Amino acid sequence: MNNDFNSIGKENDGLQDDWLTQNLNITQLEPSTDFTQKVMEQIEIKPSSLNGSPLFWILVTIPGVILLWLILFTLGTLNSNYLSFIPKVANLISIYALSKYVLMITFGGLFFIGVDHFINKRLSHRESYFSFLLV
Amino acid sequence: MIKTEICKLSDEELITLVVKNHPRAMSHIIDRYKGMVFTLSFRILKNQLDAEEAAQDTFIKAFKAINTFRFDCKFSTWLYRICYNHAVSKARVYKPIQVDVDTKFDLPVDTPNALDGLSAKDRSKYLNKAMEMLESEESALLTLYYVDGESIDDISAITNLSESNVKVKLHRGRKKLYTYLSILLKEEVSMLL
Repeated sequence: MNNDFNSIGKENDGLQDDWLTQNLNITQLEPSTDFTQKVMEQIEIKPSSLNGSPLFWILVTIPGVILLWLILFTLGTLNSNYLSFIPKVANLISIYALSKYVLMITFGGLFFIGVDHFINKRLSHRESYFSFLLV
Repeated sequence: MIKTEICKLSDEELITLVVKNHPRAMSHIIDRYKGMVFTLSFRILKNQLDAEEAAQDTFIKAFKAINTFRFDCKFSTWLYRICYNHAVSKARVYKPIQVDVDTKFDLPVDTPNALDGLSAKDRSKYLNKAMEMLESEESALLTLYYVDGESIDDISAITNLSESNVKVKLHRGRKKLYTYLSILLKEEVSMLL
């Protein structure tokens, strides 16, 4: 019951607080059954920014590593005295090593997505897996 | 998230999820408050279609401005303030039935006791009719105070009225409600006789 009942003047008005509380509660109205659905349809749900999400780091890091390797490989093929050290560097980063690091980053990212899912329990069955990744 | 788990979350926890655009949290907030928001809109607008539209607009406005909610008051107070202001601005000129509250009626029965003798459905019908006869503001104040149990302080924040003004209007609303109920019951008894 409302704690402010004694603070409003109500002498001789023929009604009692507890009676009003009990009876006015049954006057609460309900909107149409599809009210929630109608509101949800009108709300534009924007996905959160990719920045900071595990997907962001996967999308940025993997192409970044591949691009760096390509630049080093291209420069290494050029005949220049000043760039003679580059073939050595490019050879150090072999295809095998590159694949290894890419796979490590991918599985690491997926692991953190999984951890995030089980800790925060953000994923609802109505959301797609991809939309979850963007949260 | 499992439905029962999200039901257990407090308003603050749900709002944290709403800020992250979590659709299930949004729909749960709507489910939690749609009854009261719709009732408050209806008390002011006195029309089901307008009230439903105003209630929808209230939730859309609230979700758009959810980042401005600073947790310095109850979420319900913040939401009802949006609802009240929106409904009042939307309200068309409404002329309630003018009844002099000081008029002494020759009542056939004691009003609360007579209502208690009715079924819940009939009691709800008479109370709703009487509430509709009240002025929008009085009806909204009684709803906030008795149905949702908001404090005078919170009602003052929702309606932007001073606390003393809220008390006066609540008192006046009670008196009018009693009068209107008496009139409705008297009409019913005279129809039966």
